[in-house]
Amino acid sequence: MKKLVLALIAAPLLTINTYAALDFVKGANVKEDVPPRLLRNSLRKGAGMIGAARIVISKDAKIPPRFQKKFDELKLSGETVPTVGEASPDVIFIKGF
Amino acid sequence: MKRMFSSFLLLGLLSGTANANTSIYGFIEGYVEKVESSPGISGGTDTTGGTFTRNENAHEFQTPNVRLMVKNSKKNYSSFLNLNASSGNVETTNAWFEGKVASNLFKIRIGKMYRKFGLYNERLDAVPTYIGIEAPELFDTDHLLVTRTTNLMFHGEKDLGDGTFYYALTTGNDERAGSEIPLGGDLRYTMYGDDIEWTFGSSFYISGKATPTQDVGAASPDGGVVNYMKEDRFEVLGFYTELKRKALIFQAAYYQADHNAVRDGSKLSGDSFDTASLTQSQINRLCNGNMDTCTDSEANYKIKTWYIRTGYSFFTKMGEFVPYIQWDYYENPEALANKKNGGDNEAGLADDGKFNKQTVGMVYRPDPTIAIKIDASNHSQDINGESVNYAEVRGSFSYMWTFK
Repeated sequence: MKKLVLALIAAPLLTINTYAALDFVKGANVKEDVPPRLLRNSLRKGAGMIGAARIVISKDAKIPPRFQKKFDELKLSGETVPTVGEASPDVIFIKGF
Repeated sequence: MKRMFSSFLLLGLLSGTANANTSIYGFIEGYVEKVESSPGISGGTDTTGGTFTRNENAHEFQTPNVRLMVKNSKKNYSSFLNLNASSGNVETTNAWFEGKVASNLFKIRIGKMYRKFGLYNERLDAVPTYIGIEAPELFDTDHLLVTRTTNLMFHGEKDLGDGTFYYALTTGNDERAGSEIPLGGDLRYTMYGDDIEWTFGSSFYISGKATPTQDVGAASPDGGVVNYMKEDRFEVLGFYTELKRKALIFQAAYYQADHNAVRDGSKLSGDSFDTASLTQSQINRLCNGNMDTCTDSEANYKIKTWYIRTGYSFFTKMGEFVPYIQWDYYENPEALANKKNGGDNEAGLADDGKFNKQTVGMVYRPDPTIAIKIDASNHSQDINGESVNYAEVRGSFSYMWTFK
């Protein structure tokens, strides 16, 4: 029984350090260093910017429901979230998840 | 004509600011509810408590949210405007400006804003996104623990490994009596993973000397000070957690408010104070058995509330279905039934000021911008020594739109 309880508690923690790849382009004018892990974490948090660079998602990208919900929740709460738009030299452009 | 002119002016302003970093969006919510014959107290006098009644309720349609939001963000600055036209008049729910002083570590927000306070205070305008229709009792407008909005917030975040630590300190006009500085705060840590998001947090509030925001006979208070108080000093402390694991969402919170208040005898004896809905024990407690001869009296009491909410998302070809269950508990020994006295018709009816509410419901999202919610609640409390239950069914349809 103890093992079962420990397994149930530990199960959610096992995936914390994993992250999937993102297809993105850093604009030529973006000065910030954008390692994929940082970008992934920013998207998980629903952050719309890394430093001074805005995060823009391609219209063709399929945003996973979990990210979409986070973005909508924060957007309606007044926070800055990634926007859907076009690539430009000033933005971090997400082509796909 | 004036209204039309104002509308054009507003649209002009909005289009004028609609540069690359400006978003204009909002949502509309239609709502319907039907409450089973609900318990009540009526027929009370200055010296004799009222008797238990059952009131029939017609089903009711409302449009609680007709929202227009404008968000502008630049490198180190952002602003947010949140207007609600649900009541026929346009109300400014939020209007704030924010500057980053030290990146995301230290930001200052000033204006009118929802305070960061637990899982829901800032999130309640994101109706299409959360499970449930009604706010947790902690944020029920009949019996708020603190004002939902405030005026100044220092806040920030710091990445710590796979998680982020967030903090916020707030102050504002709130319900202060004079030059006091009420202080609110919220600290939380969220672990982020591919399939998990787990938040732990705590909120607090110290009011200083505070006075009511609403007169007796007017409406429910805007914060924690009841209408008939002369003054109040209260502290609130709470803890909360939220786990999002794949399709599962689980939330739990506990909050307690400790009040040291003084009842105003002249308000309790005044004509505006409704005595018909008082119980005998409330008359004894408030005015020693005679509402006509009230004097000022101390009211030291604790409000305790908690909730548990959980839901699970099923993604199908038709869209997302999220069945959910919720359990809310609220306890306020000072509560009265009449909302215009500053009470509520839930805890205020109960002999001991306690009630439970269990809710079962479903959210259906055919599209991420649309949420159709249906749920049913059972309320239970002790009234005049009897355990009394009644049911309530609600439906909510919300549609989120984006202009730019």
